[in-house]
Amino acid sequence: MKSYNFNLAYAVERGANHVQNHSECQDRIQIVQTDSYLFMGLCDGAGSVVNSGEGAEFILEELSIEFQNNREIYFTDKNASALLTEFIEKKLERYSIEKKMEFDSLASTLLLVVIHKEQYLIAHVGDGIIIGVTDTNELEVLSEPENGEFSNLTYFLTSISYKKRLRLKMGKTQSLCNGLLICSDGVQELLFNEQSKDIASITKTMIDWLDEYSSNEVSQHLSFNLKKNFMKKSSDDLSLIILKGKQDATI
Amino acid sequence: MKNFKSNKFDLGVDSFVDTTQKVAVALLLDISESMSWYGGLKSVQEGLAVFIKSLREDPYAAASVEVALYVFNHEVKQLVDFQSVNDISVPKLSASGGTQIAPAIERVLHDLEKKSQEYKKQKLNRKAPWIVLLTDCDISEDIDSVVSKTTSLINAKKLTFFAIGTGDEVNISQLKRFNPKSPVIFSPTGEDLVPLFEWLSQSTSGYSQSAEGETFKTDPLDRRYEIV
Repeated sequence: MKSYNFNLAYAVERGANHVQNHSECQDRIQIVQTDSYLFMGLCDGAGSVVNSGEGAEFILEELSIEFQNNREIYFTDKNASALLTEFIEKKLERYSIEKKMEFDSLASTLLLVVIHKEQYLIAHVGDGIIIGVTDTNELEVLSEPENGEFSNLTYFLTSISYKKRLRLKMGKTQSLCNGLLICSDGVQELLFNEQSKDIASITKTMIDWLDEYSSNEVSQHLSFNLKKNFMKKSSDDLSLIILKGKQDATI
Repeated sequence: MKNFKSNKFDLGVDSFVDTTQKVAVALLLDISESMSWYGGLKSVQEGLAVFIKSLREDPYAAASVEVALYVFNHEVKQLVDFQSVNDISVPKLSASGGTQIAPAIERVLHDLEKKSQEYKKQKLNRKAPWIVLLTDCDISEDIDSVVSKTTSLINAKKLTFFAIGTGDEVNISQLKRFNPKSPVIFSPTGEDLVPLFEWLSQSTSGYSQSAEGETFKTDPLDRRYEIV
């Protein structure tokens, strides 16, 4: 059985709009890395509702626990999409009742990549993007942002049509070894042109930093760039996770 | 924290993809005869110049906002087609005739849809368009059909609609029907609309840069205007 060793880094910065409004960053990241699996989740709370940051944090926590305990189901069951949808909806509903919050106020997008043995799973609702690197070192979109007709619309875990909007995809872990980037729409709009489908080459630049530098160092570089450069062009919250791996000797 | 001066990890800002998001803004201005009675049209003329100038001074708005100017009395005319504020010459307005609002809004909705399709064809990112309606009209015509269209688009977040009423004959409750989700801005005298147009340009700038659902800060609206 092959084993995989991944380096990863991440950064989150509160957007200029939220700084100006004295409100919190609504992007959340959750990463769990064990010997047997890797969970990378990113949620972007809806800007228009009050508890979206809390909703984002809650659902990521619940999903990380769920995938820690029951991930085999989602990798093998034909109804994985429906099962995951039901899990998310029930958890959010229960939380909204317990906390006496409006269900819709917990709205967030979801970008999830879980690596388990030889397979990975992507779950994606709304905007933000997941980008991989091919064997020929080309950047490729693994999961596109989903907006409505206009770029100021997207779908959330609380949207009525959300069940149809959860996109589930699986692939081979080996294909992620060349690199991966997961980001919210604040970063996505600077790295990916939705109309032309162009991906900025600096995506690969950032991923390749993981070849030479430690996770901590790369996280600092990411954070530096979010503050210095990305914030000049986007007023939204900014968050991203990058990953690169290498395959160890076959056992 | 490491010193990041002369930092080889500094990606700069030139390597991002083109992030401009187009926003089409249609100004629909009443030029019926009554607009000349109390100096309202002169004020609209001045306000329009300020609106365009303010947007020009914001580099992001100047790159993303495309403004069209429509005037209406008993008929509707497009005086300026959708274009960057950098290219607009503000035309001279003159008042005459009665008022027919519904066909004017229908025309603008039609043109906005056409503009949206053009942006799509050109592979440009775009945001939901704006209509800014300014009138002193009593609105006694049947507006049910066009109200149904505007409210449906607004509810689907495919349109932002600002209604501005001026003078003492304007029918605020009818104006509100075009966008029940937002108040009407009312200028009782209609004499000094420059601050209103300045505020509008701030709002346009803020919207053009904002992310989904984000609120953006503008200065408070001048107290000479009422929010109804």
